[in-house]
Amino acid sequence: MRATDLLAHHVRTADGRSLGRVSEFRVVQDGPLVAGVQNAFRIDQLLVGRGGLASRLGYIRGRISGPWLIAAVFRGLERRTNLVDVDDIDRWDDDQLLIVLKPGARLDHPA
Amino acid sequence: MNTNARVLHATLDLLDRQLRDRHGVLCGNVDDLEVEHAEDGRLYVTHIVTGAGALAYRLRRRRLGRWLNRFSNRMADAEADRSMIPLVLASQIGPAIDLAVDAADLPTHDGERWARVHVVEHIPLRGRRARD
Repeated sequence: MRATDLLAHHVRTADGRSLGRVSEFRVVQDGPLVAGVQNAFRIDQLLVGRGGLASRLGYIRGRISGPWLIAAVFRGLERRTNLVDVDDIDRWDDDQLLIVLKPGARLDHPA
Repeated sequence: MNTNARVLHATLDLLDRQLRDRHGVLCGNVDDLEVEHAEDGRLYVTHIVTGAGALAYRLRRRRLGRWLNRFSNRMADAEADRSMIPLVLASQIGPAIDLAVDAADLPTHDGERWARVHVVEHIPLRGRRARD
């Protein structure tokens, strides 16, 4: 699967509530050693909802704080965004581009 | 999560970044990333995908992208998919991504190479640079 395909998936909670589309994903280099060179890059969180533009411009998790007016707009956008842990995913449907979360999956908001 | 592990945001830190080969030569951009489901059920980003075919695929011209990719590999007589670069070969990830590969092994300049070999070199009175 390409990142393009992953970013096209819609995310739903177990009770059918739509959270929006995957707009970003976080990668952590803590996987198993590959060819004795480096650790593998594991995807650990998906950013779901309308925070895609904010994340692409760096207005995510407080990386960029100014100019204050733009930062305030993007902070508002971030509040509509959910962080989903990959371990909370119950089912992938690559044909319908759909991700269904486990019941009780924790939804965080970017700080 | 290991607290010393490097943390990256895919679209912010990886996609569209400039690629440089082992000699510092600019050799394309990160046009897409390959994601694989591992046997342990986890998802891993395994490859950087570069080249015109990857870009077309990302821009939702998927058939054209696959065709461009096949064409590029055929031109280079390559059996493996040259547009895929293992992410572990990225020696440094910053504003640009430094790779432990040679630019000649990548599909970025395939079009130019093909034109030089099949067109420019057959033009009479071509300049010295074309022969080089």
